[in-house]
Amino acid sequence: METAMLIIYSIAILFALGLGLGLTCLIMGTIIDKTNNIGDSRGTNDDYKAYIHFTARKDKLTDKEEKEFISTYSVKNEDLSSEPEGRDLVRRLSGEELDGDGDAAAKREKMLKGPAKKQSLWDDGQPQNDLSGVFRPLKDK
Amino acid sequence: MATLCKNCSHALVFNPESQLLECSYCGGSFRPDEIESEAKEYRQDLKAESMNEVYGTEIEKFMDCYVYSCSECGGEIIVNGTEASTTCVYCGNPNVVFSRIARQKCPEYVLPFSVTKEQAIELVRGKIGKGFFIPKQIKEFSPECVRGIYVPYWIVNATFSNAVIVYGKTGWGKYAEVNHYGRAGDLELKNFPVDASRALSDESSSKLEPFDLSHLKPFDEDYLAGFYSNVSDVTYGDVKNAVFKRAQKYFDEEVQDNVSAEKTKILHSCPSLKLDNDMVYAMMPVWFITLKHKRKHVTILVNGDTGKVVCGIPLDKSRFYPILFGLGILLTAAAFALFYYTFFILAIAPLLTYFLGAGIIVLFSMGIRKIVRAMRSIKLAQDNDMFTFMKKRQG
Repeated sequence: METAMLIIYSIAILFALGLGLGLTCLIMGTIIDKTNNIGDSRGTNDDYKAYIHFTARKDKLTDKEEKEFISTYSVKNEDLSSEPEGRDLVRRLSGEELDGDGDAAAKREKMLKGPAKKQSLWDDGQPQNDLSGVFRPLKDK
Repeated sequence: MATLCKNCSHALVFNPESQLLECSYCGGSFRPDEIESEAKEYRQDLKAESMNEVYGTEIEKFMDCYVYSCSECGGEIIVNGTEASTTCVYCGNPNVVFSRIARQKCPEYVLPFSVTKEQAIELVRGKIGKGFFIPKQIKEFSPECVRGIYVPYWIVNATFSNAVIVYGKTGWGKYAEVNHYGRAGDLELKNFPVDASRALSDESSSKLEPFDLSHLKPFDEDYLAGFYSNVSDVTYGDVKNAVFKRAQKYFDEEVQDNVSAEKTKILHSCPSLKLDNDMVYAMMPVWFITLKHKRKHVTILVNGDTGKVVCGIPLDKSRFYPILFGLGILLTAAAFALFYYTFFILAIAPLLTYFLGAGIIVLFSMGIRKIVRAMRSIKLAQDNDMFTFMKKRQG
């Protein structure tokens, strides 16, 4: 009987300590997170339109299938030579360099010109450009 | 070199409230694009000289110091290797180191300050005025130093590709099943801002997000008048790392949401990142406010456009710890009484005991996580590097 009571006491103490201290931490943590930790948030994937376009989905994979999946779908940066060295300072590309990269040159030219105005039935009056949705028209205050 | 008033040749300062350059002497005000650009072109060749060269020394602590002359009083202006605009310590006039933002080095866009110094201080007061665990001295703070700094950013477009194996558990008890799931895909990141100043930690600067890029203006150095600014000094590797970390986080979160299982975790991944060439160099406005608390400096950041306040405020320990321990003892005693008198219920329902134990562990870890998160922010606000970044400037 005494042993049973001792076990009951021990478990009750253990549970009580866990629940008591856990609740205390949760209450105090929530309060200081709200009052003392101000602005602790970052841009979300919505802000940067960062959504995944899935190219493959497979469920319940075996070990062999896992290896196959990784080797089939992993993307390797094959053309690393086209990228600057990691230790190079980031800088704006010169006119000549941009001419070499038609796509980047065109995008930049479009951006520097400012948003191109496009009217359509669906147009809400917001000029559209490459960065539409984020680079909206420059408004004068 | 300062931008001078057309009427009286006094140095102009950019006013965030009116978005105009204003002359404190004659009261004149001008739009930044109204100011003549001929004078700006010749200033581009005026360069700051290395301090060691000027004084014929080789002192190590002056290695990153450059000397420049104030356009107003001729006084010596000392800037570090990345500062682009500052204030003269002798006459108080704004000065821009034009050679640092000339031609190829020039940012393409600037997000002008729209929050004034007074508004920034008010925003901070509004945020910290009510907290129960914020020390009284901080609630009634008088800022030791307030500086408006344009922080350089690269705005990046990138494609992140990954193939991952996800671990996931479904079902309960004897019906529990562990499975591995394969997911592959591309994630495009649009207009992602990366802080381009090595001196400012990414952890602090990322909290200033999101920036409203619709307010960006084509760069004009007149927006810098009256504010401090830095130029980019990060490497391609730094930018890539910063984008990689965030893209991976977004990817992992979305993949885990996509798997219909619980307790998911990524077991294996093969990520790769490709940055687009069309990176945009822009300057973003940030107010740095420092205050002193118990011999430590606390730096509060305010986004100069959206007004978002970022800071970890030190705890009022004389209130926090007694309440923490008092509440801990009280709740533990109450829980003990509850368990002791209802133990027979647990004894006859072992499944309930199991759920209760799991619930307690979840509760405990959630609470600890919240406290650790707040403590980390508090430590970050007292970080010496951030304080040095804003404090070590002339003026």
